Amino acid sequence: MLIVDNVTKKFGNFTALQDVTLEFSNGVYGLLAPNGAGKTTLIKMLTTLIFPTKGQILYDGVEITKLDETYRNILGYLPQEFGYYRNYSPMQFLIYIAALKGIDSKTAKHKSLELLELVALSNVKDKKMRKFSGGMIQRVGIAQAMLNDPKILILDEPTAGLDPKERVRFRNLIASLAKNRTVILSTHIVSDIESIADQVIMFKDYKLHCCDSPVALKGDKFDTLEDVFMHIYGDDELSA
Amino acid sequence: MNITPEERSRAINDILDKGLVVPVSTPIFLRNMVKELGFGVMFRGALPGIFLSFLIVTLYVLLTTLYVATIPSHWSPYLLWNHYALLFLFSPILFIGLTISTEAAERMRGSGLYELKMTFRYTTRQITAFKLLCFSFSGAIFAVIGGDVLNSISATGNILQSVSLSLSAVFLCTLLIVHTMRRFRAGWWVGATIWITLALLPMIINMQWWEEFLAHLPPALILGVALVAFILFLREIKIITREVHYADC
Repeated sequence: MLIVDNVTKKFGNFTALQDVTLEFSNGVYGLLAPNGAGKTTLIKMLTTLIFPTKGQILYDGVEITKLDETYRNILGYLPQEFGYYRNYSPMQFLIYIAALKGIDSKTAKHKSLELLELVALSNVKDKKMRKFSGGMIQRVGIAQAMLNDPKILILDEPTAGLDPKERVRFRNLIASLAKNRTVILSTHIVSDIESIADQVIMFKDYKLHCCDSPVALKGDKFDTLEDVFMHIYGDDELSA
Repeated sequence: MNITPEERSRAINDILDKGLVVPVSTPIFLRNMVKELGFGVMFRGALPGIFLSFLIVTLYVLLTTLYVATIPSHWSPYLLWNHYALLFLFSPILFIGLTISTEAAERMRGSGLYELKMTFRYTTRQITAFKLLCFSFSGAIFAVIGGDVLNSISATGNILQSVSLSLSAVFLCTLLIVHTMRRFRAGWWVGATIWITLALLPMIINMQWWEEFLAHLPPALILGVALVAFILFLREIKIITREVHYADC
């Protein structure tokens, strides 16, 4: 289990997140908030890219800084801006990333083929990625994040820039990957998580606003998660 | 032995705090990294840069030797009379070349991948630390050979003085580059530029004085400086390898 324990993150005098406490077990967690609300800050802390100013993040009771490479070994991450080698084919790219993750070449080849099949890119596995669409690149990104069969899969705005058809495909893919692992998905698009998230986490004014299932958040008062979102952030979104 | 409930509780908490993570020393960590990733993966994309650096440095040494061998000595006074100053400036040339070429290649090819590579089991920062360690050893070997060659063609040289100056220049330069890269999050070129400026400035201001100053430094002192710089360089490598707060503000 991954626990964010009373975490605050400051950048100089600016507080990006304040006193956030969360628990993640298996399932899909949707981080839903407008841009600039602190989603990426939390994700960067969960991926060990930055560290809390106050509080701690624990995996199975041990602080992730102490676990160091052991923690990163069970982590799969798709950053918001996913870089790739344009002249590589998806197959070449996955084998390269697998090597960096310390996976032996035989397993890497087998796993890459399996994942390219899963993300529906096996027909273009040897084509150079320079001609790929945004959706195809994001699917390569998902495949690389899954190479080490991570227990924690973190996706930062994975549907940004995708057309509606690609978004639906992506949503289904994420739902299929969520078995026996924690999937943390950051987005500001409500429909991305409404149908697949077990828990929705919302931030407001750099603090945790709520964390509950979509059904519980809607309650009797709201018909859709979008209504909840507009109720919480309406003015912020309009002013942004 | 009797312990109080508080002591017992504190001891349990200490053990739980440590979890099952056994910290390993930096040499063992580096050995594990090389074993698991292999040189091929760690140096992927760096080979053209390494080849180019060796080629340029070899050509430079060959041309310098030929130049000195084929012309009268009074035509090349700087090299023959001021070889300690030149040696001090140029000894780290291989290390600088290797660092520049591989770092530049990584940045050009891997733009946007840095953040992702920082979340892998062995981060790109840890791999870079290992590369710098390898480059410093190559640079030191080159400096010793270069110092020896330059000394043999010089009119006034002393082999011990030449070699110790070369080594101290290499390790001072490696320390400067790695420290500026780590401490100030600067690019590879910042440390290299500072080194060239620092080594060039006394040559420009008063070449004669600088040459004599280097020539009269006790070799034991110069080797001591090299040793201290090397130890501090290893400490930098250790920090880079084990420090995880790369982007903390």
